[in-house]
Amino acid sequence: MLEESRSRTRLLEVHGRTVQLMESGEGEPLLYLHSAYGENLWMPFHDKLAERFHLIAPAHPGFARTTGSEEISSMEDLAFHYVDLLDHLKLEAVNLAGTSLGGWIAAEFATRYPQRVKKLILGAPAGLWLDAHPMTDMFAALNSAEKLRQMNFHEADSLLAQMLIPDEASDEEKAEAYKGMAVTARLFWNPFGHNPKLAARLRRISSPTLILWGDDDQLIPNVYAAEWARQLNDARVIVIKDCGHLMMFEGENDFVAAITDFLG
Amino acid sequence: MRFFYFHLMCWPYLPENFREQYDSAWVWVPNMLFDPEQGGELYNEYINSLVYAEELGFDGICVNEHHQNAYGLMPSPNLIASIIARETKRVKIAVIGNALPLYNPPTRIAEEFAMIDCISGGRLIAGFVVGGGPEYFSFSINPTEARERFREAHDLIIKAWTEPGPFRYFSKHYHLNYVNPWPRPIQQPHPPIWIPGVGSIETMEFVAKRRYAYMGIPYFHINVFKRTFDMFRECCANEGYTPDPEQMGWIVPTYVAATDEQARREFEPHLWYFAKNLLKGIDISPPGYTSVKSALSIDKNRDKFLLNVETWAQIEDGAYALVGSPATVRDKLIHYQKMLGVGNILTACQLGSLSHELSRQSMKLFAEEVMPYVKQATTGTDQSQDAGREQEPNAAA
Repeated sequence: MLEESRSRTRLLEVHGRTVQLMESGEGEPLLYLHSAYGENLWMPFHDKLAERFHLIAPAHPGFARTTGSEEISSMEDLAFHYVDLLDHLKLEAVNLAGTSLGGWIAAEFATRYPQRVKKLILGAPAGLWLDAHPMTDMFAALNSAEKLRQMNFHEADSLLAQMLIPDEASDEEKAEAYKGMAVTARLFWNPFGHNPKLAARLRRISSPTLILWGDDDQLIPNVYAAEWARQLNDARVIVIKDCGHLMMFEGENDFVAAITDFLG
Repeated sequence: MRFFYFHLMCWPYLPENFREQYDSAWVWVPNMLFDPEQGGELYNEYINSLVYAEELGFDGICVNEHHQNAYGLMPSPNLIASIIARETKRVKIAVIGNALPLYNPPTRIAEEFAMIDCISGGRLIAGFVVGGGPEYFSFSINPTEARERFREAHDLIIKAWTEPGPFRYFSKHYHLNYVNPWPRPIQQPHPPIWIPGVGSIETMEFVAKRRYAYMGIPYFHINVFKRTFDMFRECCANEGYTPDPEQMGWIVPTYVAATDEQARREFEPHLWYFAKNLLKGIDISPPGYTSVKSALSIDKNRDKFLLNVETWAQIEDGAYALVGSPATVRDKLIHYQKMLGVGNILTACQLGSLSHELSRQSMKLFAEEVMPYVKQATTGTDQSQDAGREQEPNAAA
């Protein structure tokens, strides 16, 4: 399912950090910030987005070959990281999309640099907290691929789910997954998966925003979609049917169609 | 050769169906399973056993810190240690240890340890640990900061003990304008320091560099310990010295009765209670808690961990516990002590649901029929040096 040849993977040096970046397609730049799953190999959804846009998909510090995770302990650090990257790429303002962890980063970035974001797409973002609807603690389930599939997919037994979260993994795959989860833990552990100050800051985002959520998200319940929409100035919500947390895989077609439609 | 009586303070009253009904004895094991009345009796019995260890001639006692679990009921080992300090006159009191990153500011550890050292007349052995994986869930302390916080807190505590206060201590995680703990420890420049570890090279290098003592955390196959202590000696060699055996300790569950058969019959159910109930969930490892390399190597040792052991033959073969008649345990101890080259044996004489009566009988037999013989057989390592004291020339400012 990997079509490496369709994309170009580059390593950039940005203020002392190496940044891995996948890129493909023509047209308007679309910066995609990946989830804690760490989709840093070229996947079908990348490919479909690249048919319409100039897709730029960097790996966060600590994921894939991007370095600098030891300097990351908050969303503040990542917002600086990504504004440096945009400057480096000489991109003044971009369409910005992010899923889960990446959605949270995108929102934090947009509260600080609203003028650098044209349109914003948030796919089941972490970052907010509702006491009545706690996010599931995925860290407590890391030793069980089965539990992780249940948290992340509508159809936990599907071939897709088993392929993306396999029961058996090579040492190299385990190491990569561990590395990614460690960076995620830096940002998620306390306060758990959110920034208590974010909700009040979302008013600073002026960009039209699309909120996407699976109708069966076991990790971050989709009631959060309404909360994001409530706090943002200009947001619309689309719920993807028969879809779990990792919508870019399980809801690939709807995910791509919604983004394409939204960006026009 | 020194013998320490090591106590976990296990919760022995888990329901019969615990193994089937609960997925962990840690972090989220419901605390309604803890009965305060029974808990009170238990604490007092356990403290009695620790005091009894002095009467029996043990060189020291060991307590340790765990939170929100049924495996070890000492969220504050310092409380227990301070009682032992009053109730005993001779034994070393090893707190192995305080989980440094769980204290903020860690100055509190410098203070409490100094109190225990003062009250006990300089008998404290100060243990520092990173804390187990489950503790990072229980305290919501970021596991990715565990090692950094451990090192910074360690430096702070040593400085607090060895340099006149007040002073300022600014590090990545701690920013303290006035470090000036009253009291200071009796032992100078500071109490001996023991660091328990599960075999990560980073910890061993840390210990070897400072000439502290390294304690091998139990419940692994004897071959894992062998590798661990060989590695530790190598780390010391890299620092340019050969470690004294007393710079190493082996924690091992031990049970002695009149015959091998009786010992196994009395002890086996409690060992399985411990292995299958209390160890369940101890291996939850939050991401970033350890290096990628260590995480993979822990993963590879999984089947050598007591939790995943299924038969008595495996227990015997891997020396997960030393169980038998005095003669048997004697032979085994001498054999494994030689194999590992350690100068401290930390015997866990109470484990799981073992009753006070049986535990005391076993302790007594062990102290009378095993300890003296093993000490004699391993002479040459029988001087009571205070290994673990920092010996760097510039340490005592």
